[in-house]
Amino acid sequence: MNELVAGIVNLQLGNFVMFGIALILIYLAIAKDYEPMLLLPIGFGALLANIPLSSAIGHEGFLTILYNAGIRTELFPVLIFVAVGAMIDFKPLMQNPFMLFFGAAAQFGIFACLFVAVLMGYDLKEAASIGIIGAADGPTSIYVANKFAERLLAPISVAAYSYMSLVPIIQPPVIRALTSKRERMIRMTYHQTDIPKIVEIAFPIVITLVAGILAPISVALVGSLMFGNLIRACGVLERLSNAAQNELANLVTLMLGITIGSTMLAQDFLRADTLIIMAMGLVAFIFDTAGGVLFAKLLNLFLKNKINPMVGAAGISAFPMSARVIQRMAKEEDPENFILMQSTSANVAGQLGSIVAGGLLLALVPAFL
Amino acid sequence: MSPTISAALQVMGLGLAGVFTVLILFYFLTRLLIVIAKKLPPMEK
Repeated sequence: MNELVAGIVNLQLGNFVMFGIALILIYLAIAKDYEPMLLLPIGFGALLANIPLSSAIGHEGFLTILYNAGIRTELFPVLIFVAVGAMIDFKPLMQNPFMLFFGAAAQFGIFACLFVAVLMGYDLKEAASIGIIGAADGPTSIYVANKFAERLLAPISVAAYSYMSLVPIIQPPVIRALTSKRERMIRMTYHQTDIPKIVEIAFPIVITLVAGILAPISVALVGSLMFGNLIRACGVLERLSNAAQNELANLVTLMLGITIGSTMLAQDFLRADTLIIMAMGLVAFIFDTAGGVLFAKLLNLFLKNKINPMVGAAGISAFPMSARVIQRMAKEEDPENFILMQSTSANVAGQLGSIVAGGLLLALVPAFL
Repeated sequence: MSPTISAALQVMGLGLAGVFTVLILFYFLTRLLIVIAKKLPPMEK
């Protein structure tokens, strides 16, 4: 009899609050279409983990087994990178390599947020894990947080994925605050250039070698992304490329989401830390956007052909959402202004920039401890 | 200034400079790859 009522007897306020949070995530995923592939499994994982005496977690629970096998070992984020690499087309970036600068500038939020987190009393490793939310790149956030601050993994993952889906709401007011109407109306000429196939193939190999030699700790991140991209670019592995883009991406995303959700236990998640991390994630995204826009304005002081500063904001990793937001904003100001290609190039550069920033944090932070 | 804040400032400065350096390097590598590729005969496949 005791076993039959054990679940009910052990229910606490924290469980109900977590059920509420889980249901909100599921609602956002289904009703609002906010990163549904991640937020729905995360929400359901949180439900499973917060049922009192849940058999899904614990030594023999399947979610704990998945966590130990896929998150603690960093296998899931790395596999996601292979899938993401197979999905990325670097050609827009190769046609506009200048946009790489914005992929760097828009990582400013990571480092600004890291500094703010330290000022708020977090140690350097935790601050780096919070700052990496500004990478606007879920797998990189999970990878870095798992290395540096496992206890903060759940709120960091939720913040990273939530804000990625909120890019259309976060970026426009920041951009409007930092630019004039005239700047937002700047038109940019686009020169379509053919990229030889050999460059598409050599690019992932060269980038892996250079990034890996400069920061060996980033090899897992950069290497898996570029491996996926090479499968896509080589042109002879269509089946593998499709498998990486579809089956691998779907399966790992499914397991990653539900496993992350299972770490959202009431006793760990319902803390002031969680609220602070959510707020800091927003700060990171705002600083990312500001960094990109202000850098473009700085370049405009020296350039003959001016850049629309909104393109700088597309240098974050949230692809292709950020590029679309920028194009929409440009069209609002001038219906005939078309800067989608430049924004897309900056957005792809942001995907590279976020991984490089993650790799640099992994290399730098231990050196200062 | 506390050692943690000092370390954070250094990580911030070096990190940001590092991202720019690496991506500027990628920029030149991309340009170089394209220049070299245009001098090579086109791939048959």
